[in-house]
Amino acid sequence: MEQCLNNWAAFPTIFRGEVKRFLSIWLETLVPSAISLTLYLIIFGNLIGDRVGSMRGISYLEFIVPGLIMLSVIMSAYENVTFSLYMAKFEHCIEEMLIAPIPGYVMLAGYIAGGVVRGLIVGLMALAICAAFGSIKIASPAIVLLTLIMASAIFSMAGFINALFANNFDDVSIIPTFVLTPLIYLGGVFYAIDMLPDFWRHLSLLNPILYIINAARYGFTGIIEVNLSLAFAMMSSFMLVFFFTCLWLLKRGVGLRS
Amino acid sequence: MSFYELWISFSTIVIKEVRRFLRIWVQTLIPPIITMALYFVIFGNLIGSRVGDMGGFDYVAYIVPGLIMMSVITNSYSNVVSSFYSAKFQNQIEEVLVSPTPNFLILVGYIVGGVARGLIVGFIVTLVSLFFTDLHIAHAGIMLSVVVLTSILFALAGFLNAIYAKNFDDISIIPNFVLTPLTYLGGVFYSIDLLPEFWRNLSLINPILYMVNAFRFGVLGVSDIDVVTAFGVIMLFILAFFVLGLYLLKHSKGLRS
Repeated sequence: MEQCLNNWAAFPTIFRGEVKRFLSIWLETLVPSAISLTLYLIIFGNLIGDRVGSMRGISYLEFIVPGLIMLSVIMSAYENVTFSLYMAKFEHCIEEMLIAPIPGYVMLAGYIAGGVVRGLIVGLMALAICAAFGSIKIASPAIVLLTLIMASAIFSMAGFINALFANNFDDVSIIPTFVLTPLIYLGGVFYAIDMLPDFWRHLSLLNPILYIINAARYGFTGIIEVNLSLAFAMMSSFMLVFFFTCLWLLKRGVGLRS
Repeated sequence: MSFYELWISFSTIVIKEVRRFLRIWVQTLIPPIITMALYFVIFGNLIGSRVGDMGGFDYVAYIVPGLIMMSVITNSYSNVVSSFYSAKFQNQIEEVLVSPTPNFLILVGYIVGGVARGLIVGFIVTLVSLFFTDLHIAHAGIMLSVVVLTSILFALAGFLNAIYAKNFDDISIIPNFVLTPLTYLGGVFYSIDLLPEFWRNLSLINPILYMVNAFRFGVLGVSDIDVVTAFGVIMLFILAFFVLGLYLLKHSKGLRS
């Protein structure tokens, strides 16, 4: 009973701390992704997009909007958790949390919730900006929302794992630069994979982010190049695997207890 | 100070600057290569084949000069801004300031460091671009002088940013909010002929447009603007930034309080 009450105090405390952190530095956490999105929409959506013509039967602008939104969401959710947890480690304030009677899953849930909220806020802002560039039709709002939440959760947990293993500030930026950015760009944000030669198309199918972006594009436009159920099955399995990996790492104290 | 002593001061700063970015090459040299390779694949090859020609060239050939300039600009700037700001932050700049090194030599030393990084990255990106297109250089002299001058300009700009910066946020604000938009809208990806008249005229007040186009003239022989004007604009900025940099080194409260 008492433990239960403790958890109900612990979760909102961590969660609120996380949300306050990124809101207080909104100039670095929310605005940059809005600027780069606007630039992409102007240049590739409008200017170049007019010359690209239609892709998969819709205008190029409409084609890239879902991918661009997911790009902002994925990067933001990941960055939020990696950065926040790594800072807490670096400044040793994580130790206060570790000696408090908070179970690992409550701490994990607090960080994930923070990352998901950042992902959703960035996603909504992105949606508003895209709407300013032309009428955005959403074929299935439920699928869009579900994809946004699941992608935010997956990459919050991935960011959590990154922060646990990180030993210095470089380790925090390596995965986003060397893994996430290439996988997102090659995950069909800007092109339909049926434009690729066979070999590269098959290789693309190994990229999990391709499924996330396609699920989002299905939610917006009804167009999808992979199997929708497979996409959601894949997202769910990533959520489960990452969640239990995080719990296991927390329990073993990897990167936290020395 | 004798000439020899001046040379020692200068080369010490340059060697330190170059070693700094070479030591952390995973963060300084590799990321721009990855980003540019992605741009070449996606916008150059895949989307480029649907865009058709721009300024009389394949789209990929058209954007290569722009993307090379983009990496030179970002890297020259960020090298000086992070290095000089860190030196300030850790107070080690004071050692340089109390030494008999003249201010202009400190400034030139940091600038050369930034230019070295800008040019190395520019060179590697050029090599990467050769996997995607053939480069026939139209005017090698113009190409080289534009890239070196632009690199100097943005190394100086990074220096000014570092002097004014009071915390780590201040060194990311200008790159995020000024440099990136001006570069993307500076004709890297498109010819300003594609724009409606109002936006085309507005683009003409963006200094980066002149640098990208002058460089493109050097590589491809086509440009949206007059190359002589472009050189004028670049030289003017370099002069203004250099004088301001010297003035701030002498008087800035950010350094000497």
